[in-house]
Amino acid sequence: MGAYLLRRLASTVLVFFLITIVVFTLIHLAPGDPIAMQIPPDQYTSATQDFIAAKRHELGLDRALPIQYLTWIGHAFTGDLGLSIVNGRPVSEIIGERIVPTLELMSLGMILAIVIALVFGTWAAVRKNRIVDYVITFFSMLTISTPGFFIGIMAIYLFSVKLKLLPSAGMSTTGVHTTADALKHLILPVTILGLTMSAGLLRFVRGAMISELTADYQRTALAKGLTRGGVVVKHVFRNALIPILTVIAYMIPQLLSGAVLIESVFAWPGMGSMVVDEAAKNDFPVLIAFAMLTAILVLLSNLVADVLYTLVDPRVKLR
Amino acid sequence: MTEQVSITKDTAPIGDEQPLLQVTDLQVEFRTDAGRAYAVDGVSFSIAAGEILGVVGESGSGKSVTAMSILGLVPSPPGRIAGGSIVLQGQELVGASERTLRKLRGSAVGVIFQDPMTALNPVQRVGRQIAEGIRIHRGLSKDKALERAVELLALVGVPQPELRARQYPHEFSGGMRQRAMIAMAIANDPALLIADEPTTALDVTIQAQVLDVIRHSQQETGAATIFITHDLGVVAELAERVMVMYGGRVMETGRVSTIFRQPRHPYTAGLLASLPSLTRDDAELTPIPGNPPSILAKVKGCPFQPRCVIGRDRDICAAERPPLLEVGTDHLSACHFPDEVGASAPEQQVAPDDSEVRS
Repeated sequence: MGAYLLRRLASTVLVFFLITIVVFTLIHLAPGDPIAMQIPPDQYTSATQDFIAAKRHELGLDRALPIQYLTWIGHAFTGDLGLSIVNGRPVSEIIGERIVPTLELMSLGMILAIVIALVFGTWAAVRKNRIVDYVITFFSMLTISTPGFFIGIMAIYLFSVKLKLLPSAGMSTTGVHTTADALKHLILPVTILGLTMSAGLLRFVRGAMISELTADYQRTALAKGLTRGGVVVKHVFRNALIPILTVIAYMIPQLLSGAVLIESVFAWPGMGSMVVDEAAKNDFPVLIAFAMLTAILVLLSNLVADVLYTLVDPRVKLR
Repeated sequence: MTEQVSITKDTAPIGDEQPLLQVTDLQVEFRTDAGRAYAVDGVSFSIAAGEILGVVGESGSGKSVTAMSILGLVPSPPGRIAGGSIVLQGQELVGASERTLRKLRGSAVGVIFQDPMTALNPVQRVGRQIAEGIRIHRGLSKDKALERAVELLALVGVPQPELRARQYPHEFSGGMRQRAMIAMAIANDPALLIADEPTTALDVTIQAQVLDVIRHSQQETGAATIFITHDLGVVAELAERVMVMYGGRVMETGRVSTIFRQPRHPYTAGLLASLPSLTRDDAELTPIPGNPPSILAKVKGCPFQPRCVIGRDRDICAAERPPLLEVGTDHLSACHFPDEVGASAPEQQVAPDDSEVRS
């Protein structure tokens, strides 16, 4: 187990570096000069050309890409992710204040998605081809095929505009610092992120449960005198969990992109709304840092999924 | 309808005492995409306490479904017990509540399933799986139940039972898994043991060992045993009585010694003739020509008629269901012409050189 983890970590680090190289290259290849983009077109003269060139030199953007990469990665290890081209603030500072709201939204949304998917997916599987299954399938398909931002806007219209029950934007009401107020602001974004994330997982849980529900061992358990519910809880569920875990791990990147959209809709001050802003300005130090964090998140969640495997499935030995 | 009444009457328990299990005119249907399948079509039999009954038939003959019906383990939907009666220790089980059946499962009736590779939960320790049934029915503590599980593993001949109880099924060989399965089935000293092709999925070398374990367990617990197999050799070795099934019906039933010496149903005769023999000088096996019938339509006459040497050209065999009638002591046959089976030796009826049969 220990040796496995070491090897796994080593390969994770290698993959991480490859990702940063690819991302770094891609972002620099993208059209649009970040400095030029900040100058209004009507003020664009030959003098500005010189200004841009000087600025590029100052920022080191005129050097060869590999040199730029090595400089960047070297600094990144000391925690220095560079300065924003747009406003000159340190990227680590910008990310630092944006990451907490995003993680809050993501983790709560994730928990909600898993709970919804496990409960309703199992229910649908147990009642396969009956009314409950059809109703659950209908709603999950509806959720899968409706974009999250659309559901978000509809929810804002219904709960904020019409019913005036919940706030439509931000993490808190300006000037109010109560838990109740913070919770109220959480409800809509978390519910909608959780709901949109749950639909695909729910379909998968249903499928995994159905295939395990007809497994031979469940008949054995039934023949021992367990209740049908007991068979599902004690035997079937644990077996179905094995494939479900992988899917949950692969859901995490999807969750992040889901969060980006939801943050834009609800003006949630997280990394998502930040990235949307900065991408428009081609502020690549920020974009690269975000891509790097995403990569770390994905790689870590896969690592965690692998380790969790061994806990759920005794047949898997990590060597 | 009248013929069903006569079946019920004819298969009334042999002997004076009430049998442990009495199955009467059992009907089991499956809803399939192709229509309704009549998996079990009017099966009646009984088994006395401590007796071993071998149930023989090809795949799809309804033998497993019959056995699974006893405990209400036929998956429903699509399966459904459409009629008949199953009386175990004086208690009617057809239409009994799930609760009633649950109390019997694993206690009064233990089941050994066919494929030990899939019949055990792969993510649970073997000892715990055995202990589970003990805890359910006896309310023992976890530790006490585990102790008993270890004892049971020892009883079925699993070496190092303490260690084995802590292992997972994938750490067991096929034969060892089947032993664990047997331990699970006999955990609560059942009155009836259902062994559903317990050796079919095993290596030939392991089969004999597992049969020994089943025999030993049966003697130890005194459980009556329904032994389902398609292996006539196993039946001859293990069972006292045999029931031959075909197309969801009972073809013939009686003492093993009687039936093997003198079958009174052409299907049984065909089965016996198709056995490879060490004494006969045959290079080839002698199959029964044709295929098992589709069970998607209720057969009006005898299900074996299209393949039968005797009944192939007879109208009565195609049109009228042959009742299961007594043809000798403890010997019932569902054939319109049982005497003709007896008239010629089975070897002659389906002999390799008989061109009519081999067509």
